[in-house]
Amino acid sequence: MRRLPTDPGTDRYPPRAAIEEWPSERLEAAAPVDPVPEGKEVFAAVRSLKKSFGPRRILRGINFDIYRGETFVILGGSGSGKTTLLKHLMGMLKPDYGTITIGGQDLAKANESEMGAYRRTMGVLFQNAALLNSLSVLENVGLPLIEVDQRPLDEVQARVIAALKRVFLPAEEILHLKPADLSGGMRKRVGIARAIIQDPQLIFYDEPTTGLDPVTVNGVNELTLDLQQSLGVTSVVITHDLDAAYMIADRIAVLYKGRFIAIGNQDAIEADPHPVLRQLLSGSTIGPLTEGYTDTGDRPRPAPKGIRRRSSTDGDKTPSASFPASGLTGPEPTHGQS
Amino acid sequence: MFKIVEWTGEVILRHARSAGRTVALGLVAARTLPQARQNMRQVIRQIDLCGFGSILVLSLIAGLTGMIMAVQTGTELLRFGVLDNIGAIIGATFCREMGPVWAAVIVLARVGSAMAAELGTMTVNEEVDALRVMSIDPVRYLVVPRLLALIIAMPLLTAIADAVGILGGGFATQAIFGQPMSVYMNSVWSLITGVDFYSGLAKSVVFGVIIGTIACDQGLNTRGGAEGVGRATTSTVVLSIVFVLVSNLVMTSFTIRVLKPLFG
Repeated sequence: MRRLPTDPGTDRYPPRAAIEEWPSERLEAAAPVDPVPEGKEVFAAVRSLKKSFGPRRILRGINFDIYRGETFVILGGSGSGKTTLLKHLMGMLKPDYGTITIGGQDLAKANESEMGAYRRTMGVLFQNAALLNSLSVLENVGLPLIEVDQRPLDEVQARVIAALKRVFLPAEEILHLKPADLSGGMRKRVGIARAIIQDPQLIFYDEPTTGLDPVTVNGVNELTLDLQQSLGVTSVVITHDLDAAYMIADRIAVLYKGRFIAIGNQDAIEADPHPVLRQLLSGSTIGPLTEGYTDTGDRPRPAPKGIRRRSSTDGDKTPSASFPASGLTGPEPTHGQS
Repeated sequence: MFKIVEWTGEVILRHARSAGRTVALGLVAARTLPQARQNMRQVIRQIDLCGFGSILVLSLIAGLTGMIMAVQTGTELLRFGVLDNIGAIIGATFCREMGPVWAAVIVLARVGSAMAAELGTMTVNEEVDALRVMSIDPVRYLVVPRLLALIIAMPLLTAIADAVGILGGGFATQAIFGQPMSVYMNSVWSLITGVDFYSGLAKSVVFGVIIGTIACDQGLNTRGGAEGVGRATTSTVVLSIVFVLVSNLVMTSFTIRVLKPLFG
């Protein structure tokens, strides 16, 4: 299991003056696509992805690769375009511009049968599991086998039981229960069981830990890791849960105003001085993410109890040192500058 | 001034788009109808929900309406000494209009709104998206069973409404005006023709298609959480009743002007 961050936290956040050193075009500049590391195979490639809804530009030119077998976590604040991006990757939205190539198939140009074939290779865990309330657990998990593959019922039941056991659920006990009879954590696990029932190559997780208690959150995270390691699937996780991201991610991408501003492993993300990233990591109410929403002036505010703070390890309260590790005066960021 | 024109144009375009979307859903569902046999369990469940669940309340309303008609009409007919014709009037009214319209009103209020709310909740809870990503066509899986259930249930409900309404009128006539039931029923059979009865059943099928298509379209296009579900439900009831009555006018005119002269 990957390490969870342990940081002592401080009482201060980056002062506004330091953040304002970043001009807006630098704040929103897109991260370049890194060269493919040796031994990695590109499973999905997204290039120049743009999407608008009316006058609202949601995705403004996104480029990234997802490597086969990795867990790729997309972090971002509310309204950053995470869900829209996920819907493009799932083939539920067509881009206005750009390409999404997954497993050699350009989703933007795929016809219905090609999309059908693509969807059979993927599984999705929706935010609230999206189980059909009128169906039992057996019918919910076995739905693609019953409706799409039209497998015989005894085979469906055997595979559903195997999938439920795979996610550590008491299969025989809950098989004929309705989703309303299950706890939130169990519903998520049933959702994961449905996502893996067709042995997918790619699993999408949309906010998998939202609304769960800490113990269940850890359980879901461990399950995500376990599935990735045991089944060798490629996973794409949308979340704003930093602990979960650090725990499960091979690489993390940070979405801001429709662009990735940083992509890299945990160390690269932590070392990146981008103010948006720093605010996301610190949980501060002061910064570009909340620009215009707060009325705090330059007064640093303590974090609300329970929000994890990420800051310098030496306790220095100078502006530059109030950014973690690298700070604005630290090493040059690897992404996001234009 | 320009704002008013702009607003009016926007409203017209929005409703035109919505109507076009509903018609398109109906056409896609019609094309997908032969695949309904893959999902007969859903169809039977929907028939149970919309058909059997509506029988009691529809019978109550149809029976009461028949009795009220008997009281109102009988009083006037008695004044002119033609009470013997009351059965014909109530029978024809129910077979041609009251039966199918009452069935439609009960079904749209009870079933159409529930369908819109159920599908709307499924939409906002991403259950419909989940179906799509599993390559399960929501039209085949959700819309077609509901439409087929309404197509099957509506004529049955209409026939029940006809029968109960006519019988209710008969009991009221006997109780209030002392006319024997046999006289009343003879009067009923004297005027009603096959065209009256079957055109009523045909109307009810069209009403079922209208209610089902509008309810499913509103449900599948729900946006905005619980508030959106409420809006979809209200829109379903309002739109359904308007289009049921408009289509009723068209079909009644067609029956009177074309079918009646041809088949009596």
